[in-house]
Amino acid sequence: MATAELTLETFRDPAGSVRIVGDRVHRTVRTACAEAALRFLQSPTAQQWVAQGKLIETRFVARNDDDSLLEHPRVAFPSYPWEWTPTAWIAAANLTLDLCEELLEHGLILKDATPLNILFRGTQPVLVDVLSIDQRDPASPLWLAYGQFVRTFLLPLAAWQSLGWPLSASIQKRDGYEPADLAPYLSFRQRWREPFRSLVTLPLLLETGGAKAVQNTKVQQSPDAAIVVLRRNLSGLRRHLHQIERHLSSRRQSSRWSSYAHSADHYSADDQKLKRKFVHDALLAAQPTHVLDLGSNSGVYSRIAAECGASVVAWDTDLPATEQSWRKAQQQNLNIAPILANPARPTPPMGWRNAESLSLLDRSRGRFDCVLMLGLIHHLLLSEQIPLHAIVALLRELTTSWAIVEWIPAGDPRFVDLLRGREDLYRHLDEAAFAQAIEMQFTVVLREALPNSRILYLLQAR
Amino acid sequence: MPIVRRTALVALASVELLVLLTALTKPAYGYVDPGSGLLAVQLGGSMLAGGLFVLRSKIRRLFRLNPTDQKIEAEKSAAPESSE
Repeated sequence: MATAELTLETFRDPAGSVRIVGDRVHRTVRTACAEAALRFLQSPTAQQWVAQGKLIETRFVARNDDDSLLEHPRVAFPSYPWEWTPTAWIAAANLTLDLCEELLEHGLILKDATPLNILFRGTQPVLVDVLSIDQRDPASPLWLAYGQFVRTFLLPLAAWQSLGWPLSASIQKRDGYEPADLAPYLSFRQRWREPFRSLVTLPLLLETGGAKAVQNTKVQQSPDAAIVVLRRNLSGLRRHLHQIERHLSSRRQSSRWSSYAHSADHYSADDQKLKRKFVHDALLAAQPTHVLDLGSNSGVYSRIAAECGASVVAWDTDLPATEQSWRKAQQQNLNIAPILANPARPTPPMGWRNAESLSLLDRSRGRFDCVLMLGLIHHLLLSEQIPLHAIVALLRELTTSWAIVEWIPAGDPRFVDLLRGREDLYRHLDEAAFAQAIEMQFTVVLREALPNSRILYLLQAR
Repeated sequence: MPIVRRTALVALASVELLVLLTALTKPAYGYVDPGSGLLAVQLGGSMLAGGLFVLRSKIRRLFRLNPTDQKIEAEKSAAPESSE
């Protein structure tokens, strides 16, 4: 299947725009508006950031007085903040503050600070909006992106932590939450405790009380004082972020899925061993470079794929299990990007004319040469009520070459659990029905029936 | 006299009520920039921190606690010998 030639074009920054067509990412820049950024991109510090994976690589294609043309490599699978785990949000926020602080030493600053400027390669965040880098006024102690950082990073994280608002709800807000969005839901105690005292209560009081007094953003101090005060402002934001981070690590949630791999009673230790061996052997036979793990849970098979040399994107709907997968990938330095995504309800496109962010499936088509669908098919069939032929069609759409699939027979205890009295409707779903569903799209390369009657396949796309 | 006094009291009470009502009226900030509160917090904090920074520098200079000042003083005291 050919790589989808989808076009994505940014337009909000008057200093320049990015156009992504297929695998090419071109950035047109109004040279006069972005001289500081263009100069910085050629500096040793920028080269060092690129080598460390913190900043996207940039190649100067053409440069003249009016416009410059830059080219960046495409991040194979871009994910959006509404698909990230809290740990990913915190990593992106820390990178934004790190880079901003380091830029101060060069007389520069980030002119905006939103999670949309960050993409992930595995668990490593990378700043892709190079035009955020701007000249700093040495006499100003203000970070003009302070409010945006609070709205787009800190308030969604704090609302998730204290009010249980899902981070996926950030899809509704282009520029994050306003203090007024949270205020009605905070108790009196929460309002007067950090982080909400500084991020919600005081701003709201000042917003309604003295809005006219803050029209002037041109505060001038001596450069010595301004840089100290600016660093203090940034460290204040960092303190709030660390508070959220500490809270996150102190309340590692468990869910019915996060310990699934260890507690699955329908899998004996031998069955699990055999399944892992099959997946490993299938991956060695297929030699994929980009793997998509659907229903990845805590990432056991994602890690096997990454250890076989593939870069892996792992989708699951369970937050604690995805967090666990993230932490293990980070600890073991594996190229895995676990995100919260559901193949049955994929993320829609968003923004102006539905064209500012791509849908989950549009970002995925043609990107993966192998898709893992292990222990998922019965959930799609019975819980999501997706017909078998439609599941196979999606599988074919998502992989360019290979698929590793686990077929769950109708007598399997988990299949029966999900049936809930609908035996008559699903009784016909046996292995023969599966073989019939896949035969037009795939050929069976490997097949192994486990002692617990589940069947594993390595399929090759026709 | 009581009538004059009562009228004066009623007038005073009316003025007080008017003042109170005016004070309690909330202006309609339909077009207030929603980001202005966060900017105000940063602005206030920055001005305070800037003020403290200047004050601290002055105190340090007064008591000659600033290491750079001490260094400059030391250089100054060393310089006349070499220049002479």
